[in-house]
Amino acid sequence: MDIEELESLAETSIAFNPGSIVHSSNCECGDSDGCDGDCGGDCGSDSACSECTDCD
Amino acid sequence: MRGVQHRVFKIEYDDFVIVYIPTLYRIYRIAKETAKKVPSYIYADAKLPVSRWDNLPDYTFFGTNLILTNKCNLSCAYCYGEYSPKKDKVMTQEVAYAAVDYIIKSVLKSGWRKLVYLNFFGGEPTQVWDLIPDVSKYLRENSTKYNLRSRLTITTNGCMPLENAQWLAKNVDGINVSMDGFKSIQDAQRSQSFDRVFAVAQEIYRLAPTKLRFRSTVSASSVEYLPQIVDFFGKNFPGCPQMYEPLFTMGRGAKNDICTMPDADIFFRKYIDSISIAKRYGSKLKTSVLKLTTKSRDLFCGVAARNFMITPDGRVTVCNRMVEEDINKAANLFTYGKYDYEKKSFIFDNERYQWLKRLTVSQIPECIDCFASSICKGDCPANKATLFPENFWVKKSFRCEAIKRFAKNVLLYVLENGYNGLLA
Repeated sequence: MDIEELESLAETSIAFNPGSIVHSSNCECGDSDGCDGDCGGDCGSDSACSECTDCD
Repeated sequence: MRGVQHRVFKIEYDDFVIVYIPTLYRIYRIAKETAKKVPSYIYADAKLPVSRWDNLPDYTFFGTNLILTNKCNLSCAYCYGEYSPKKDKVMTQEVAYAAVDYIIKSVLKSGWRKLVYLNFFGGEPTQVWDLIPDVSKYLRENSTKYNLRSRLTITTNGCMPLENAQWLAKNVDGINVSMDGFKSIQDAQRSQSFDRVFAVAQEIYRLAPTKLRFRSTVSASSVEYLPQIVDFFGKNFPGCPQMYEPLFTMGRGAKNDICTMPDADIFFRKYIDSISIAKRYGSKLKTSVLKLTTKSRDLFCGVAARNFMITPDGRVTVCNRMVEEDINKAANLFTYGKYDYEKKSFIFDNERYQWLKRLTVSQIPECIDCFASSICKGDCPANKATLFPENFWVKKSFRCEAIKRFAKNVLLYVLENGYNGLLA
């Protein structure tokens, strides 16, 4: 089955990434699909964890 | 069939099925009978998401977290490191500068990256205030010298003179304030500090509202009030992101009967109840096991050998909660290097580093075929290491069943309300 066939079966569909997330204007993460600055970790030091930091 | 294969999860809910395709970031509601036609994999043109960090050479770090000191002017009831005014380790300027030099060199070596980042952490970093403008200047000047941008942030308890808060508002790019809620909660959990912290947060918000964010520890006592806490932060600091984490039994958190871990199901239920409240104020809610949109398919966080965090005594660790080796016996598992004062450079334990790279959700047998693992990524390795030091890297989360219920409810929430970027 491909995605179009699946979507034809759905009552509701939600897409939440990519395309719905916009880079900040000075983002240089090099990721054309967008990011949301999301970062993992319980530590709270969001900006230190390697998975984020590029988008304001 | 054409295109790339993507895993499909079907989650039964009353008289319909939620179909979730994590690698396409899509959720569908399909009638139960019809959903029987949906296979376990579908094909789409979209490639599997790849984090830009997945293929970097070893020991490439574009940023650092400097744990400047283990001293703190508070003694919070649950502190994982048991930090207090009695602690006295302080990072040297030499180590701080060496960390900045290292990350700039990594960025330049990449050939494509333009941004270097640094976060100040502790203990309470503002307790060694002189280091902050000093290292900030060093970072900014050296970044500019090589035509790089720099992102400078701080994680603080907010207890500082107003002039220091004003300096931060002007000179750093992000300020994460650890604050647990309104007065009765903050005072009970964090050393009677509400009046001081609230005043500082208000000043930062007045000067630089977009730089401020909050991180709150939720205890068994405060979890019932989570919606009111979200409302409190939203009302007083509209638009500021709010992160909530359940208290975990580490350090002082394991030693007191007053401030204890909340029930996981209650925490998650209250979190979902709070989403609509946060939306009213334009605030973004976060909690660490909710990772709907991260590009990395496998990692809970940078613990998998991606973090370059420096302890006050110059050790290199992947986790800033696993610093005090006398407090947490598993802390040494997360340390993979140190600054060598004779060689004037960081030296690394490659065996430990390569082992850390394997701290991924794909190493956990019970997570491999679970729909929730693409959201929780196996949960926090530091928490698991504290509970199961023998083999934590292959263990599912201690709150796995509660996380699955939460993940199911989050997917349902998104189906009913949409995803507008406010749900992290």
